[in-house]
Amino acid sequence: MKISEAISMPECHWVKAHLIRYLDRDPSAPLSDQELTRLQSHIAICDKCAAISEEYRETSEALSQLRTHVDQASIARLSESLKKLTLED
Amino acid sequence: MNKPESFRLFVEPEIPVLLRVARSLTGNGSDAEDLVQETLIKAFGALNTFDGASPRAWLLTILRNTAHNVWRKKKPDYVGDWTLLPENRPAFNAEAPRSAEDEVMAGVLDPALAKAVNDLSEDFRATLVLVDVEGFTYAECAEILGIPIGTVMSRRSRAVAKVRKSLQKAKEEAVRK
Repeated sequence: MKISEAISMPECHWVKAHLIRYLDRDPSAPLSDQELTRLQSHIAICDKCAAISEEYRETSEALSQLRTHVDQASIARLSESLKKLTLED
Repeated sequence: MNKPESFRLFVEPEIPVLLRVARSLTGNGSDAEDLVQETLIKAFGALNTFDGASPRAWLLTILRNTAHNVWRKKKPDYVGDWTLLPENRPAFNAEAPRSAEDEVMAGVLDPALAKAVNDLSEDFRATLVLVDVEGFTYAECAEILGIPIGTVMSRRSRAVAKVRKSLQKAKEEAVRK
């Protein structure tokens, strides 16, 4: 039996539920040190969760490549109209 | 420093962020610029309501309200028209040279990614685009959409899982072919 097969399913569920927060490291939703250790320890021994983690990371990276280009001319026009707006007052 | 000048100083650096959000909401650059323009006028008129804490959060709230209250009347279909995605940039390490195999897989996955995102429900798509595509934090996304951070996290988590599954399916189909 593989190590990953012997890992408890509830732990995999817990890891999946916290995986996005772990990968994002968003300041609004940080994992505690205890949660971080629990998650990293599990990923180190569970092939399935490690693969899901990698797929999430790849998906997120691919999505970030779709970022829209901000038109510099638009920024310049809006800055100019902001200037006019505040000068008119 | 007088009030109009202070306003300009704290608002001007936020224009690119406002444009990105407006672009996400309206789906095109010219509408986005109009929406930001209206937001700036409204913000200037409501300067007395600004508590000085976070200009970005304050402006994003005004932008969201402007989009909902004013823009929806002008453009009834403004939300849900995420046309930025079909004209997407290449995904999966676009800057790096691709092997022949990568090229084939990218040809399958780039449109598959756009399709996977477009197939999401509007709520999921909005959250995913703002956080993953546009790089906003959970807190900023919550502010833009007017929902709690917990809702952002759960929508986003489910949205990424759905996109991952769709991509997995596309990969498997490509391999079978």
